Amino acid sequence: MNLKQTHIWTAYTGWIFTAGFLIAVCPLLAWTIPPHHGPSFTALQVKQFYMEHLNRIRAGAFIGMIASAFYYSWGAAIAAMLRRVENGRPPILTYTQLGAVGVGVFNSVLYFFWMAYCAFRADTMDPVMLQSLNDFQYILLEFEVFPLSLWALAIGFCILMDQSERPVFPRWVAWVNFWFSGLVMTGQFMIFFRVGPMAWNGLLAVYWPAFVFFFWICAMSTFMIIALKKEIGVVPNADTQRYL
Amino acid sequence: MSSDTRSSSAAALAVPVTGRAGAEPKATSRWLRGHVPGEAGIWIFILGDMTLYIFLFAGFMHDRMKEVDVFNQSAATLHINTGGINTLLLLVSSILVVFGVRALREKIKKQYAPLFFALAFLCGAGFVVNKYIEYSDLVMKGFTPYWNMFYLWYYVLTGIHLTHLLGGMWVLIYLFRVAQKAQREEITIRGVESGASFWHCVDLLWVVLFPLLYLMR
Repeated sequence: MNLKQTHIWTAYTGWIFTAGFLIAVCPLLAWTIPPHHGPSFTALQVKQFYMEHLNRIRAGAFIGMIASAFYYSWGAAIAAMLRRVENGRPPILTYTQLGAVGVGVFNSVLYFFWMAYCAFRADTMDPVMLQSLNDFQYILLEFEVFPLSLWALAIGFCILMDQSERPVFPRWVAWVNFWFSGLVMTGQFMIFFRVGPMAWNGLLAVYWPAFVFFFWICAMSTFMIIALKKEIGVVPNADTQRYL
Repeated sequence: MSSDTRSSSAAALAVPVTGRAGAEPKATSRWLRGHVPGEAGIWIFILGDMTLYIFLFAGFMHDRMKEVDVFNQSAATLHINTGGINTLLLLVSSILVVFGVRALREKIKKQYAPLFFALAFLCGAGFVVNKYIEYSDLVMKGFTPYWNMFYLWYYVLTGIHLTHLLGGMWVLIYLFRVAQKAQREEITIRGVESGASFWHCVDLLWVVLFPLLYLMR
């Protein structure tokens, strides 16, 4: 085991998070992406869904919570690799990224925690209360994407300003970040609507942000792994013998 | 590939096509040489944006098929003339941006470039004012996003387009400043082409939105 290998594993945690998240939320388990129901469901219908899928939802929450931990090592890896772009200057964009990593992981952890909390006593809970707690889950998932937007902006700017001979990421990856940053928050108006594409089970609140989010993670993970394998960022006179 | 980043037209023309030693370089258009306007990343952004719109249009058509009569009746309440003026404003702004880029390539007098971008910005501002008047009028008549599905889609589609347009106006300000800078020093055309491409994308989206919302029966 050496440092290079450990760093590459860290980049793979992005894939682990993605796989774990998607397995947790798919229709076989928690059934939140794509969502089984919407805000127009009555309280009794929501309770019926929970009663029919109780252990599956609990299993989804369990897997998702474990997957969430792998999110921050991936975010830290990106920030670490892009740190050198700001060399010589205060690492503002790096710190922005690290702060956003914290928020993103918090969102993911809280989401699965809440899913578990809803499913914990769903069988004895009042349907109206269960419906309200269930709403919390979806609003949390989709409403809190704006911190991720600033995260991606910071990454994008770092990549564009990377003028080194061996840039960490290809230049066009910055534009994937800008695309993600601008278009992941199409669901922000979901709190105004309970039907249609803007509702929390609608096209703009779930499907599109999920697509953009996972495309972004896959692109960044791929290029992260490539950059680490090519040892981009290892300074020329680094003592690699000791750590190989 | 940044084979054509300089704004002078001489660099745009002289490229040897044959590999023969001593052969005269043939002048070829940059399009035949595989020129990508702006940088590759802006096309990721633009095509990614269009992907969103493909999903939006599909969603709109899906909901329309469920209640065609409601959609048709509601569409009839929109102001076609206002929509038409908006379309004209954006088309004119696009041609002005084209002239601005050409001016920076010195196909037209370079000193006009800032003026072209400024006029394009004014067209965009006109669009925004027009949209505000249109929205106000519709809301005062009671046609809010909560009225029916058509109006929900109308506000979603035109609202998202409006945010893109406002972003495009920031880009036009950037183009204006680059054009001013170009009067004094050499600039790379890549950023200008990227910005211009984004504005054309915004225009293209409206050209598809207008018939979809206002004209389709």
